[in-house]
Amino acid sequence: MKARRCRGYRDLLPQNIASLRHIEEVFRSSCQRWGYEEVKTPALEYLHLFTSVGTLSPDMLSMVYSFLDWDGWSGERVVLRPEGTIPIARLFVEEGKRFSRLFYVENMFRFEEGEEPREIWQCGVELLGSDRSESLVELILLGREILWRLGFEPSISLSHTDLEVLKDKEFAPLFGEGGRSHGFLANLTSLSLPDRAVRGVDELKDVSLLLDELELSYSIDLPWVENFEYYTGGIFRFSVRGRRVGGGGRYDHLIPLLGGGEVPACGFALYVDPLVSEMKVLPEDKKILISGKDKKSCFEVATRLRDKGYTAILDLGVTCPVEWEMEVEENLLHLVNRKTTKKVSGSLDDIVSGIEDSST
Amino acid sequence: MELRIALPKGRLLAGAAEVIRRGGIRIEGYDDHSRSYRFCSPPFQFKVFREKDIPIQVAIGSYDLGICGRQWALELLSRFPKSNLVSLRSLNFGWEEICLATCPGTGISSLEDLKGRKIRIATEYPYLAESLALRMRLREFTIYPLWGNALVYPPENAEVALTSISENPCHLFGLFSLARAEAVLIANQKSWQEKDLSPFTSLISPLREEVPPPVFQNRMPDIGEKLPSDAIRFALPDGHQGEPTFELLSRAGIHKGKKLRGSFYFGLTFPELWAKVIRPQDMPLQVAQENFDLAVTGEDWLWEHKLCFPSSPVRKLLSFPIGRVNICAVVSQEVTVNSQASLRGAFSEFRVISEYVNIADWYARRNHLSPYRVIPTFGASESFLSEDGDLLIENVQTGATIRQQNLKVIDTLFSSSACLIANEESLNMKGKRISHLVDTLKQASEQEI
Repeated sequence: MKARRCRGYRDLLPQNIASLRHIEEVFRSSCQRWGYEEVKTPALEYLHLFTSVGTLSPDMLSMVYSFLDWDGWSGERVVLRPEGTIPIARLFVEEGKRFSRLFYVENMFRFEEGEEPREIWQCGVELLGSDRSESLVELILLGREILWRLGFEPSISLSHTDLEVLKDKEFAPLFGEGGRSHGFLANLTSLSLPDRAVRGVDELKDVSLLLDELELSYSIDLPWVENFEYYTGGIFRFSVRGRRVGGGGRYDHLIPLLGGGEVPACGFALYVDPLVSEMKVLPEDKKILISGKDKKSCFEVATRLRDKGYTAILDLGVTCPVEWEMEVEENLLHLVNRKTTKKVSGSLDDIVSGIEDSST
Repeated sequence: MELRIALPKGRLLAGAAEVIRRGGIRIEGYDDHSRSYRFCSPPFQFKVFREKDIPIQVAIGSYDLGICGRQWALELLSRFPKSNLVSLRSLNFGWEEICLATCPGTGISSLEDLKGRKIRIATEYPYLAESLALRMRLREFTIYPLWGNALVYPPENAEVALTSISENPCHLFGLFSLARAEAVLIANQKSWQEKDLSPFTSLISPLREEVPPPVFQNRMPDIGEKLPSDAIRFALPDGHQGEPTFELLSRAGIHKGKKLRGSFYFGLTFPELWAKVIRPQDMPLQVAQENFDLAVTGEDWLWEHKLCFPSSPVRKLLSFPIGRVNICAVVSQEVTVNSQASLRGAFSEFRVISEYVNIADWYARRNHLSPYRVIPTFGASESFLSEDGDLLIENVQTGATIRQQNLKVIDTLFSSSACLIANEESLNMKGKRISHLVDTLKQASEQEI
């Protein structure tokens, strides 16, 4: 029998993990600087949590992994977490609504056809309890900061769920390539728009005005999805080189539907997979492979190198992707660069200087 | 080129036989009395299955073509929309309607009433039911996947039943007709695309000229009688376990009493004891969910349930000397395996066939069969070996069927007989009355010995 992984699932290899951790660290530190606190929700939730809110579309619900747990004789099905916001809203209500700014890095499970990944990683942020327009601006700025720190120049698109009514032939051309300022929204309201659209435009005005004042460039577009799941107001998305890498918006009805009372909320998520594939290769750590007859000396030299901040790997006869190789010979160390074949011999300090010289 | 065709047992058998006969294909012995599963009429190889198994067998490619009720193809496709299954044509017989029905005692009179409250859906079509519940955006629902007829569940044991009907059940109120379903000719998609199936498909035509009128009605029946609140709710088995169970009750001096109007419950001549007849396979789950306080089921189905839900609040109170079977591991006589010890490594990939999915899974794991997959069946499991399965986990009574099908028993997992099971909470609440019944049944069952 040939061992193989499940269809639609991936192993994360060292280079993937390095990118994932880098994204996670940048995301985590930015969120913390903005006053957000990290939480983790369980991988399993009751299916009822997702059906009870009535806001996930049947299409989305039909993609969740649901099953009966070992104590599921009552018929209560559980699901592998299909998305991040509803579990956070559940946590918020269950914990007595004592948090306002939360973030998470979690994997989500959804059935996708063919070879599409069925396990995806997301970095999500939820801002709970504020109905102010600057909440959305805070989220947009936070998302942009994270993407900048990761080396991306994101484009930002802004819209509103109520603008869905404009997606017909009469109004759609007004959007063209998208509006670029608060003035575009003022232009829209000068026309005879359906009432629902007017409401949407009004709600977006404050957000766009503040973004204009902050000199942030963005576009105002028609809503980009057919089904908003739980979103109820302003929505936004981030793209990098035309590829969608994140999005979010306001979801004021979700917490009331979960029995948490009238609590407005908004949030966004960054999608780790496209970010990883758009990222440049991270610099590799300086790694040194150590071999020698005197095993005790090898261990000692390795420890001293690690103390100096290097990755020291003992040669146990297995493959090691390293830049440098070191031979330990009593009191003398011989270092060779695998690529350049540069050689240095001497004490540990000589070796360290040799490595530093070659990197400058 | 040989064409493999799956034919139905049961309600569609006569119609399918007629369709094939009219096509000029002769199959000797494909009738209700036959115990054979395989028929050959070159270039056709026919095999007989339970109707419900046919879409799965065709979709996985074991058969090129099949005849089954449209509802079973829909059931498979609603959960696995990418199944390799194509419905080719209606055969215009065996018409049924799949409908969502309820009855007056449930407090439901429209689809709107299903929203915003906890709904129990009893059904033989769990995938269709889940898909329907999600599409209707029901907020809190539980699906009871059943072996037996869902119609008997409302109002006491479920709010609604998603079931197929061929005539309007008088006590039920139709909420929604999901589909009309008839016998259809289905094909494996790959066979349909790559193989010449026309030697068979060109001979097959619909049985009737006209489609019969729908039977679904949404006429609210009269409100039925309510089950007394202090009733001990007893589930009794249908099928071959039914008769010996009623004989046992009779020996205990317990006989059938009056039927509850608008319900499938009937009284028994024992204080506060009311019974409903359901399928033994469904009983452990129903008792666990407190839909019934007590049930007479088989130890095999109790074990199957406990393997799936170890913490289930179902407790065995008594074993009865009726319904005795051995649960065995069975293989074809053509293979060299003769014992459980020689099973490991006997097949490159084990296809384990069973009605007892959890027991089969447990057995495969315990014996380190690798790789294996359990293929669930809904009866007539012995027909699967050896073309469509390698190992069968099956109940064996005398062994005659096993020998007749050219199979052999290589291991006996355990012996099973009928047993009385109870819900733990019911024992707490109604313990005294239940123990009186248990004593009475125990005496009657010992009399027999």
